[in-house]
Amino acid sequence: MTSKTFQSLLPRLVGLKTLLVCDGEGAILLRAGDSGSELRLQRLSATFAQTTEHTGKLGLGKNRHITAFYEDAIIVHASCLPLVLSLMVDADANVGLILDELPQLVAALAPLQQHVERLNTQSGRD
Amino acid sequence: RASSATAAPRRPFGEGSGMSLLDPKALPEVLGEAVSPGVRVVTLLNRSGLQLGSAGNNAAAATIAAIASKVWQSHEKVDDAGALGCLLIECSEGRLAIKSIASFLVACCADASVPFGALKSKVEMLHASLQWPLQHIGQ
Repeated sequence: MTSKTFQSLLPRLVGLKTLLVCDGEGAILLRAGDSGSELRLQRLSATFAQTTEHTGKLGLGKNRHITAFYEDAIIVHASCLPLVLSLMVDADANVGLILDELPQLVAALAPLQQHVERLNTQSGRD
Repeated sequence: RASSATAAPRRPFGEGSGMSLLDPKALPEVLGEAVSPGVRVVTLLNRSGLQLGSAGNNAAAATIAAIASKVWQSHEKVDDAGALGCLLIECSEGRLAIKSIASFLVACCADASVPFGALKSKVEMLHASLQWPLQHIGQ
């Protein structure tokens, strides 16, 4: 289900530690990088899924992504409803480059996004 | 200007208490230093989402303060994440930067014309200016 385009973008994410694509409840659909940080990133991904609705009430339109600067890492969450793309990069990584690649990453997840939407629609009917 | 944000106690709790109080007139001036073309509002809030002061479009400040507090606390309290230094939020029609200063938060809201680097620098500048006086609030 993961497009070759998505896989080809990963080497361009300099400083990437871990990448996850999760559904709205935090279940991991795609993973890449260091598995040791997966649990932490998964929890943060679920947090983003919950807070993105609040962020949409700021009067600034829909939430596209959040970048969190922690002491030991930078974490970027991007909204690809019903999915969440989460990246953990080094604290000294060039986050500008990461944010620059986000639109391409989100676009490359479109097949998986549409598949999950179909599944959710079908399960809603059943 | 930053040090004027806390005034000498005018009405101390008991004699000689020396408690530092926040000068409400000085705070908007300090926050206003971050207002530039594209910046809509800058607001200082407590962890409960209540404003202490703002500069710019004050009509939007209360809503931004409430939501900024909620989003910060959600991302801050995750186990094993280390200390959260700053949040940058991108929406389809604007951006928000949030940073903690002592036990408070500062939020800077701008439209998409303000680069993220500039927005982050603004909240870091406010952190540098207000860290010392806000640490002494109530002490």
